Amino acid sequence: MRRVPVSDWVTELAACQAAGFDCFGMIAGVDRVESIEVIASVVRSSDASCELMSTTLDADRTVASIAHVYTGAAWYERELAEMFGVLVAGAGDDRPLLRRTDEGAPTLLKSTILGARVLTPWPGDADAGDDAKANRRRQRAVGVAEGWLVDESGSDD
Amino acid sequence: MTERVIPPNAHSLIGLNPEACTSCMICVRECPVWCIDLASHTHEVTEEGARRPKVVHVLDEFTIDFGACMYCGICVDVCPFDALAWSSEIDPSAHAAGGLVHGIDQLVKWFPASGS
Amino acid sequence: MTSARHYSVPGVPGLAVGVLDIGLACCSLEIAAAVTAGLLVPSDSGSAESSVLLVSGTVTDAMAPAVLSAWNALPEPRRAVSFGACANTGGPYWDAPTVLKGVDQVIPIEVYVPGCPPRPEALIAGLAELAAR
Ligand code: SF4
Ligand code: SF4
Ligand code: SF4
Repeated sequence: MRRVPVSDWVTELAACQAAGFDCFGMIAGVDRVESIEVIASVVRSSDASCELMSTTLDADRTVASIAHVYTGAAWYERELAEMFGVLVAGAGDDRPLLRRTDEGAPTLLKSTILGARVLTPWPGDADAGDDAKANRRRQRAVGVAEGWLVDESGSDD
Repeated sequence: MTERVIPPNAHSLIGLNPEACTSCMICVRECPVWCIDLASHTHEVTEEGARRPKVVHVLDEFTIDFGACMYCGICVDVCPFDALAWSSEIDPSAHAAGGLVHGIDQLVKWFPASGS
Repeated sequence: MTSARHYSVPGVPGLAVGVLDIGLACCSLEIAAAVTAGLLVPSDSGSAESSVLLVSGTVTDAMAPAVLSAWNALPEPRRAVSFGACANTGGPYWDAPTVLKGVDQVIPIEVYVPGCPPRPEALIAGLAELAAR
């Protein structure tokens, strides 16, 4: 995978296009917690070789659109915007794909709490044998936010 | 009925062998969609000649919600006791999503006779 | 996702259905597989006893209105089948805030076919279940 500065994102992908990488593969976002990484793959149909390119976004979480180079990128850029909260500069279309409106936290960011995981009782929170339940340590499934559902009136249940 | 065109080992239902299950909870905790649930209680047995009784887990309930199950097979893979296995039975439909939750009585019938 | 296609189902004698297949994700391939395997046989239109809306795949918030309008556009008598874990309960996306916890949140479902994806035989079994009701 080739790592390029975010300022070179469009020129690097345009260079791929010029080098015969005629098929667009995909764009994916990765939440690295401190930053967002964006990865693109393009394929050369003549020899089926694939080029993977990655860039790390600055704190402004902005990347330039490559949809004028690879038309198929537009769909993935909508995904980046909706699911990772990335601002895709120069994208012609930034309508969300899965949601009805622009409201809502980006679903694939690690900081976004999935309420269903908090509200659904986890069947794994039990130990073998009913009498073991008395003094066991509570267990929690991965991806379940702690302290999200609290009684904010301050009363102790 | 119709001619079988899908290989019998294609991912389909999952069967349970309750005799082999130790209620260890591993499959319950590893299932990505939280669709396995079980209840068990402990029971002391003293074997002849043993110095102290041993504690065994008795499985009371074991359900798989096939309405949510993503047929990933993680439970089959992680079970240390081979108590879960793929079945080649055809998945029965239901008239409510909750009707796709199957318990021990049904799951045992889907456990293939010769293991997975 | 336009007009219904008509099928006879060799495994379910007497059942002729007009199927409007809303294919939203991977599950839809299994419906094509059922046709390829001859489990669903395309037939001339007109003979269908009822129209069946077959919802296969992940129903996102964005797609929910399209599912509802497809249902409303279907002529009576009409029935709906949910095909696969996503349409049944949300399936692998059960915890996603952008996915319905089952298509029955927007339209009435008569038969739920389990699987991720369900095998073509499970679809036929589900249609037999529908015919038997
Ligand atoms: S196959 Fe996967 S989803 Fe289904 S019960 Fe097993 S672990 Fe859970
Ligand atoms: S992993 Fe196997 S032995 Fe353990 S609870 Fe599940 S089925 Fe039973
Ligand atoms: S149920 Fe499984 S196969 Fe079907 S659409 Fe959902 S994820 Fe894809």
